[in-house]
Amino acid sequence: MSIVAQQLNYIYNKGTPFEKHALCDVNVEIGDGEFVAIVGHTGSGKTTFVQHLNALIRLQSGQLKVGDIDLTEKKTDLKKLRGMVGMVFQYPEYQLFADTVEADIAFGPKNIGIDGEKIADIVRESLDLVGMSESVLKKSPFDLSGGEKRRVALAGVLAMQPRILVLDEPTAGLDPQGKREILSLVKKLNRERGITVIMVSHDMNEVFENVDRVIVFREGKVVHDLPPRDLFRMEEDIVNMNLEIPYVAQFLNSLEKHGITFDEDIRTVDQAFEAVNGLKGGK
Amino acid sequence: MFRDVTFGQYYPSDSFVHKMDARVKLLLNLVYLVGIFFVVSFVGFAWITLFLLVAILASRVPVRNVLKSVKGVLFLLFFTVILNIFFTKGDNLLVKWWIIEIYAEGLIFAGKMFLRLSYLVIGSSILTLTTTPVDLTHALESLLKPLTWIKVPVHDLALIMSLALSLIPSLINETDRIIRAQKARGADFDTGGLIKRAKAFVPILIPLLVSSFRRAEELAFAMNSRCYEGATHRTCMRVMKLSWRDFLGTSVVLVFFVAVFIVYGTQTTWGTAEQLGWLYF
Repeated sequence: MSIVAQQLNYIYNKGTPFEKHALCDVNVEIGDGEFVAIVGHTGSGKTTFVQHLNALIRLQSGQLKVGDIDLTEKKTDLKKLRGMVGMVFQYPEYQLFADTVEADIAFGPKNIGIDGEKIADIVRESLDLVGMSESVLKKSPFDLSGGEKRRVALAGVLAMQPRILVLDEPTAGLDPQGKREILSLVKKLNRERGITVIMVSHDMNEVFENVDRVIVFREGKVVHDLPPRDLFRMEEDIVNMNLEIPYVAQFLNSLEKHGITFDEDIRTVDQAFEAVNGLKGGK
Repeated sequence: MFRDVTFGQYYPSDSFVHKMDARVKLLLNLVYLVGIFFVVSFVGFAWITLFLLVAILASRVPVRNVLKSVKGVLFLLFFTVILNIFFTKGDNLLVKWWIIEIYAEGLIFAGKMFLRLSYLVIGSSILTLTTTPVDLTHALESLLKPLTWIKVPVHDLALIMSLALSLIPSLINETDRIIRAQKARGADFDTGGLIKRAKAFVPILIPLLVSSFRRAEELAFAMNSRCYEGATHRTCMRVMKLSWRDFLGTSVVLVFFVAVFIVYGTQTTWGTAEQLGWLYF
């Protein structure tokens, strides 16, 4: 499932004094199976952009194709689209509502018209995918801990069996352990199931470690679209945009200033450690 | 979905009316609301129209915004007019068809009801357009202060009101968010019968309720941790003060309504055409 957006423009409160240009000529192409991060300051248009992908915000001008669905057309098969593009909002645990975890996870698949018999299996599978045991199926989602709630909410989206997963700050408000779990799950979905993942994030360390490509939004425009290593080499630019430079990137950048470069793709502290160690051995 | 809902209709400006004391405006509005019930003739309504125009001019709110407030009660107005036209009996039969009888008195009465109700709304909206909800709450608290003597917890009530008001925008945002989230899960609010549609709101209402309780609890903690202990020894950051505007505004309104009272007050307010003579029309 690929996404092609061309000349996307969006204006909030069009024709009123409160007019706000949220997207300006956005051109983005995201291929099947990519793991992309979307970053930018608050109000940079990133949320507006991702909400276009499953037609929560309807197209104002420009072209947008998601898989084989053309959102430029007036009539869109919303059920199909929303089944295809799973969207996990910020603090998704706040959208839980059903009596039991089972019913809550089943809400999405039921809505998009998946067979009743299949749903029970899908629910179990999704729960397993997010690393929770079946014993919680009959529990009320409100009795779970914060991290568990979030995983159930995530399972509720995964149960719709999306080919594209959009996550809006999936790790906000979680402890480090919870963050790692969610991220490794998302990574697994991307690597093993080939799901295209688009992650909106403010945590540049998280972005640097996980994604293949970073799209930077600023005042409604796409200003950068690069692999993380290349992006965070532009230290001044990043700081100007009120973004931080990941620790590992900072380290690599300062080594580069001293003429030390590596061939391997270094994302984590451990990898950097290995690489530096190798350097010492070599010299 | 809810982005367009603005609560309260405050129209920011720094006009004469905006700068008046909220307490004075509240009281004058009461005078107006009572006063308008004394007016029984179209001539009287013409005077009220003039009065409203002066007030609107002094408040520098566009007339369009003021008239918008009537939209909310349009249904009620429509109903009142229809009922009065068809069910008022009188002496001058105009139309008789099948079981429908329309009298001249009915038409006149319906017309007056229409004017009276819409003028009630327009007058009050001048208050809400020129006064922020927070100022209104303060005004109410200040005016009701004497009731503390008979143990009415005025301060607490005012606090509850202002908290409720301040929570409304965030609740609207929250609702918007939850609707989007459930829509993303394929929820459908726009098709199906009445029961199906009502049921479709459960996935919105429950999370909303849960989050309201959470918010309320967090707020209570926050207030407790800052040693909030109710009305005792609390002062206001902005002290309300009367100015020349308040005296001028009050004089104008009072003079006008004293005149209204002198002309109409001596008559039976809801009297018949014969009793009122020319004043009726």
